[in-house]
Amino acid sequence: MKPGDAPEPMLAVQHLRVSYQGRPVLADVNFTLRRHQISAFAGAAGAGKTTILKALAGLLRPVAGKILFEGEAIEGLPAWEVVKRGIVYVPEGMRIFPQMTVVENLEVGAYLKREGIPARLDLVFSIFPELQEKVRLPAGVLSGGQQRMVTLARGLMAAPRLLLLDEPFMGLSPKLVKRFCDSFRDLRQTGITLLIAGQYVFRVLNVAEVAHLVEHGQITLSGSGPELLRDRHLKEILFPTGDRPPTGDKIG
Amino acid sequence: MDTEAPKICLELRQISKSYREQQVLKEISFTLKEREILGIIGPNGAGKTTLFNIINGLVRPNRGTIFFQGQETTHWSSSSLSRMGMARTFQVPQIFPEMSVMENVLMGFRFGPEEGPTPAEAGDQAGELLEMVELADKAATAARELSLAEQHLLEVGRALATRPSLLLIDEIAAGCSPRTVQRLAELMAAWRNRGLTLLITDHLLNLTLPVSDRLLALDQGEIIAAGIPREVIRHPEVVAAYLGTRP
Repeated sequence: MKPGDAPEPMLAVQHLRVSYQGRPVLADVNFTLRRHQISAFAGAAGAGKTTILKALAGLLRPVAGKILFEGEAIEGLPAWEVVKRGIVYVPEGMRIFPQMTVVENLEVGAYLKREGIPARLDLVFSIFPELQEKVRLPAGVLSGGQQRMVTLARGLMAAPRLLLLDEPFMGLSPKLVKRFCDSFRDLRQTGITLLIAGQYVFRVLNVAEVAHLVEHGQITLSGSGPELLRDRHLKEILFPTGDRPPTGDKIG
Repeated sequence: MDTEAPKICLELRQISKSYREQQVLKEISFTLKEREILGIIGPNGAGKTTLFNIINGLVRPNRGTIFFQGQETTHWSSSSLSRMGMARTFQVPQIFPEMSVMENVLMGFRFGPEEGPTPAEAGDQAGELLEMVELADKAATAARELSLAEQHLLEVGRALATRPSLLLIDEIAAGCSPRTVQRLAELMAAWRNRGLTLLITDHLLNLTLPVSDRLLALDQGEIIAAGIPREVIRHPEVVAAYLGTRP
């Protein structure tokens, strides 16, 4: 690479197409991610955001297109090979192992990267101190929102290089959403690149260097997060009651 | 002309609940009038769902009493409460996954305080409920194929089929689009105008604040604030424990 050249993207998705039982769900999706960026996909339910993340994670095999992660084509690789390369997907919902304790759930997340577990536990407890009080409890007795914290923390325990978060704020109190978003810049310092998808990602759009609007299986708008927040069409989709984002999530 | 004071639909007196040494609810007392919408807010783990489970008969309190429609129901089962007119939805929707959307709603008619519609009437009434929750075009779809948001709406439709006088709604907005959230807010106001009393909890304040007549804020099992929504969300303890920033 010559001086002055832009660094190669960490992730490059080219002409990605995904179908469910013959029905096209993603049509010609193209985007790139740079190392340590905070990126976001916004869009209504059913737009295709989760499908994009699942294709990146190796949970769905594309019918066409390429996914290049640090120059290596990974489309079609099984999910465990994708995880080995440092791409970790945290799906929406509260999918904990209910009979295991909180700390056991977190340790499962570190299955492939056993070194440095104490430091990673310190990191997740700094973001979610509520979990530290409950480390020995079975995860199944936690409230719904606390279980969601466990799934997010478990994703961090995998020491990801690229962390894919699907609707990360669902079920979390406004204060916790704010705290988690405030941690994004710190997470980036630890070397993590973040890609966050959801319907309620207003806080994320405030800090996202790159953001995309997904509609009907295609990316229809791209720019910085703050630019997208000013877009009239995006506002019509995500803020049907007017120009202000929901209470508790302010611009700026 | 004399105006009649609204009747009390639900009353809790000093409800407490502990799990081993952990006290999760501490002497919770409040009343809910008929046709009122009461919102419960609070941080994760504050005790909101435990409170719903106690009101709804799924969990027994250690102390305190509950009155529903003037009758003490503290230790009643959820099925008995359903026959009295109480219905609820769950944070993780408890739909019948292998039944169709229509069949789920038709099952709701079998329960509730009085005889449901006749078989001849049931189809039409179920269709109206599905239109209301915007699932009419998925009537024949197996419930397990619905999205999370659609499952929440189906559960509400099925709950309404039991002809309740009190509906408890637990975190229904999860997965719903902003437009659906707006539609839910409109529906809740319409249900209240038709005589339904509602107890709701949701982290999405865009839903909870506009529809609630009053809010209760819980933190660590205690009520820290109660009153009209715009005052409760500015309460210093609510800001510190729940919002993180002033609204």
